[in-house]
Amino acid sequence: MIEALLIPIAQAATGGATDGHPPSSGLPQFDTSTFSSQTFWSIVSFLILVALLNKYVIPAIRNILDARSKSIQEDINGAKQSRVDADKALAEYRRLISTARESAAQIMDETRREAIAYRDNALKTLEEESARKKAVVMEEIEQSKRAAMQEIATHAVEIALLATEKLLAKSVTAADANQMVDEAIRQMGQQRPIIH
Amino acid sequence: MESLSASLIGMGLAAAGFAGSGVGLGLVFGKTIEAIARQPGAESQVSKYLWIGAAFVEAIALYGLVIAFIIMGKG
Amino acid sequence: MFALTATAAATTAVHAAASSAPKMDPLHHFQVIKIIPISLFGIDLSISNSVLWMWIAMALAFFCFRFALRQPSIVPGRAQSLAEAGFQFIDDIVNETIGHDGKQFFPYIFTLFFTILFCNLTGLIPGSFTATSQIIVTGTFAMGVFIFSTLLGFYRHGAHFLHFFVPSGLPIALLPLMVPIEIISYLARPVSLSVRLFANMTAGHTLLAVLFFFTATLPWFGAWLPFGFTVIFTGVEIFIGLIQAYIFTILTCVYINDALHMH
Repeated sequence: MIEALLIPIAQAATGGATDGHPPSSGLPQFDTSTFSSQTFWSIVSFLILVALLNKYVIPAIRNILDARSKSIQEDINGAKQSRVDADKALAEYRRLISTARESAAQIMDETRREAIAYRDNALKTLEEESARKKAVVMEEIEQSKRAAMQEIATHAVEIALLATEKLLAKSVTAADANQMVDEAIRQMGQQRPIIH
Repeated sequence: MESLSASLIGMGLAAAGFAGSGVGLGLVFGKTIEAIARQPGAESQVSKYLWIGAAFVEAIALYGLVIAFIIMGKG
Repeated sequence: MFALTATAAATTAVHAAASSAPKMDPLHHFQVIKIIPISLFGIDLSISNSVLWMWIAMALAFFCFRFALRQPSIVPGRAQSLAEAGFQFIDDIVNETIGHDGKQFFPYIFTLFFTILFCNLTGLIPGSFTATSQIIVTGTFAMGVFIFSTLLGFYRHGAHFLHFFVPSGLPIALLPLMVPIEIISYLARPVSLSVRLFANMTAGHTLLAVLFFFTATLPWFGAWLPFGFTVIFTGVEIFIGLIQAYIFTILTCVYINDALHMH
């Protein structure tokens, strides 16, 4: 059944098996009558194929590969460039930060110095003020002392006058006079205002 | 008829050359397996030469086949 | 595959008249059949099925690349990635084997690889013909490589290229023995190069033909076994087609490198 199906196909496929070649006469490849045409057409078609491939296929593939390697190269270069840029930016930022730190330190220093100066100034002012006040107060004390002395002197004169009066008015003994002077001084001492 | 018998015997003897190719293939594959067992990292390199070598050795057997065919044509 | 089945079956049909038992002819599908007979100056230049299928394979290679590169972009699609991988593969072979001055031969090596690869692979399509299973086709390519590399060697090094056949560091007494061996091994290069490819293709396809013959002639309960083998061997054949194209290419590079740099 298989053969009945295959035989017509076989005859169609092989160009007919009944073309007169006797079977088993050696390998058909060694039949020299076919050599000239096959040699000729092999060479011709090979050269044509070389020309065709060399014109239409090889340059196309080569272009693609070149373009690809170029684009990869560009990508690599771009990556390198952006890395350089990033490094530059980083250095810039570092520089900025250190500058800021420096200026901050400077500002702090200045402020400290200013604060110290201010404090010194304030202290000096205060000292001066207190010294001035002290001087004023001293002056006042001196004045009041002097006033007091004056007063004492005045009173002493008065007392002396009084004592003299009394002496004059009645005869007083020396003891009496001394007693009276002491008394007068005590009275004055009680009247004397407290300054300090 | 005797020349036909002789040519048939000759063809068989030519085919006997396949034994050598068999030995060769065995050596090629055995040595390759040895090499890969020793150095598994070199497998791709070794297997490339394995197939080239196997094809060469196989071709030797086929020379014998060609001689058999030539004898067939003469017989 | 199918053609091979068909061939086996057709052979069966042809010989069914002569004898009742089907006769196996696994070499029938290598038969070169003239399609358009052309004769020029008494030389036969007719277009046969071999030439036709070589053209189909080459056209397929070319249009596959054109299809992959129809909209070339930096970010490749699937087809473009594949085309670039193929390009890169050959580029790596050329760079590793020849070095930087191999760039000028790149188009030829590229074309050689993809011609052989597509001939090998289209040959596995049922009903097709494998151009690389013809010794004259592989022989033409191999002779082309051989003549090219030899001329290149003489062009680059002049008569100094003959030193290639004199191994260095040998005692003078051994030279009469070694020089002929070197020359013979050099002359054997195109032979081994062509026979390797041709024999691999022929052997694989013959094996497939034999298995298909069994598949077609055995009853159904036995046919599945050879048929399963054909499936496996088609996969193996794809692999062999790749490997052989690779080997042909790498040996071409090695020969060109020998001519350029002389060891």
